[in-house]
Amino acid sequence: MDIKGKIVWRLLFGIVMAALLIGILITYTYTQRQFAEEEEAQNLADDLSKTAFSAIDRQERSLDLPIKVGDSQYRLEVAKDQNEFQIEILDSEGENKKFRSTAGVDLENIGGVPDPGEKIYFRGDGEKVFYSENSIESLPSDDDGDGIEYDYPENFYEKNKNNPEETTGLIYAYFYVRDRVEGDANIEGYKWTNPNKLLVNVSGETYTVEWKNKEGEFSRKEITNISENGSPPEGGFEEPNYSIKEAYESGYIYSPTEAKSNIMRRTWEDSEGNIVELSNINFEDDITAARITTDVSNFSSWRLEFEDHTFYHGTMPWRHNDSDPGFLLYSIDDLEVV
Amino acid sequence: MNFDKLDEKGAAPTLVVFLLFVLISTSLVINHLRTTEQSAVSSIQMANASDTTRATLNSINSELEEALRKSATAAMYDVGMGGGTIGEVEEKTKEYMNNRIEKGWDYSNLDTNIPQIGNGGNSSIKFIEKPDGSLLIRLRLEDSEIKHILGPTAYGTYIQVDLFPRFRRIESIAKQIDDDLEDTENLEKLEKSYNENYKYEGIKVEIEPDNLIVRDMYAGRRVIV
Repeated sequence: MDIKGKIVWRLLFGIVMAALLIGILITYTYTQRQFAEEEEAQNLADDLSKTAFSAIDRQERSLDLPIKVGDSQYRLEVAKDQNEFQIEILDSEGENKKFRSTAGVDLENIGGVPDPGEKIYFRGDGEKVFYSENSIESLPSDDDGDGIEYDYPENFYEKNKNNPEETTGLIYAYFYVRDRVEGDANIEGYKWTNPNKLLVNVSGETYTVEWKNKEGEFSRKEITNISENGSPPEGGFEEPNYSIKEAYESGYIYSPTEAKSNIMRRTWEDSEGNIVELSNINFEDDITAARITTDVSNFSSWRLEFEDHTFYHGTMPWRHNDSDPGFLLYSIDDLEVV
Repeated sequence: MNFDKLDEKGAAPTLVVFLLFVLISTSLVINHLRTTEQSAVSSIQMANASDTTRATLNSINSELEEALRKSATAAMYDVGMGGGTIGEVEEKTKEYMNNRIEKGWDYSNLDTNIPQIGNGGNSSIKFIEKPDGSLLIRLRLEDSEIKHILGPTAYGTYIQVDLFPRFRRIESIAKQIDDDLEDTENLEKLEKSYNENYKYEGIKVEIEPDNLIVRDMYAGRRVIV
């Protein structure tokens, strides 16, 4: 080979070596960039779950989402069932990578999931955290209070304690209608047309509540029927000076479902020590309300008829500092809680 | 092979350059294939790691929930024996819970950091009195962190426990009986009268000369399914 030829080959060799070094350098830089990008994506997912958790106590929190993670486009997904934030880096070659972080609270979406560059808002209600692309001014559960305090509905409490017949009828009508209509019910008025017939105005409609005196385990006045075919009474309704709806939302009325659950979440045994199995029941067929007279006082109660056993359950919790004895739960078959 | 011929025609450098090209190209292809494969495996590993992290969070939460239920019940019993207040129940519950948290958790591939209650940081425990005198307890540990070595992390611990015993009601009735004791000589009659009056509330009273026990008979949870 002549000198000219040797120079050409050495040049070619140099170019190949340079290409090799450049290749290594590019690979190193790319790996570093990818590493930084992945760390940024994981940090973003972590920030989202931390921010979401910090909003549990009814405070609104927000987080600005970056337009890109590193130099890459990305997508935010929220796996609601898993309470997980997922940052998916969108790779041009279709090899997307996901980075995940879990919030230790239940998450619920009340709007769209924001796109990169937008803001995500969080607000909790003491039970779960809601997230949205828009600011969360209020939550459906805001009217229930913050879940921390139970407001004492004095008028209702005193009435239900001292004149349980009237409140028993109104409570029954409230839950009967609430069970059937979409949305909420409100007791607007009532009137006794005779000792066994109570007309109740629930959200503008008139309902007839029929009663019957019964004897047995307790002397009681029990609701036997309710129907919507009543017409408003002459002279109009009388307005109660309390709200059944507010008392229920304050935790001062047990719904029929709560009464059933309070019984079923305990284990019962009969007088011989045998464990008793309770069948499932429903409000319409197996639960009614009654004013009962015990050897202590008159009480407002739910009467729950399971297949082989009957229970009475108070319609309201007895206040802890009430100096009078109250009524919570009674099994007429003398079943006892294990 | 005639090496003189090879040298004359420049075949050796050609061969070296060719070999280098082949080596570089091959290593690039292998690297690309490996990266692609690694990426797919990494996605599966990350998903598994995330599931493991979440399962661990749930497991720790369940354990803390049971610990909180037992701590609060034990605290009510301890404090109640001495005629103590709800404030003392809260302090005892915190103490029992912190004893459990201090022992920590040990998992392979996971770092757990569950902070103690009330040791600075963003932790809180709230005792909410329900209308019937029972307690609802909410424990919030904002700085709790469970981190998998591959990255997925779970932040925050939030537990809510509903306790059956109507502690405040029992406390109130016990005080009432205590007041009545001053004016009563016949303890048996007083006990009978209270038991008759409070039977529909599920409250049972035992009065002895130097001991007063008020029990919530409906405090038991479901023990069989």
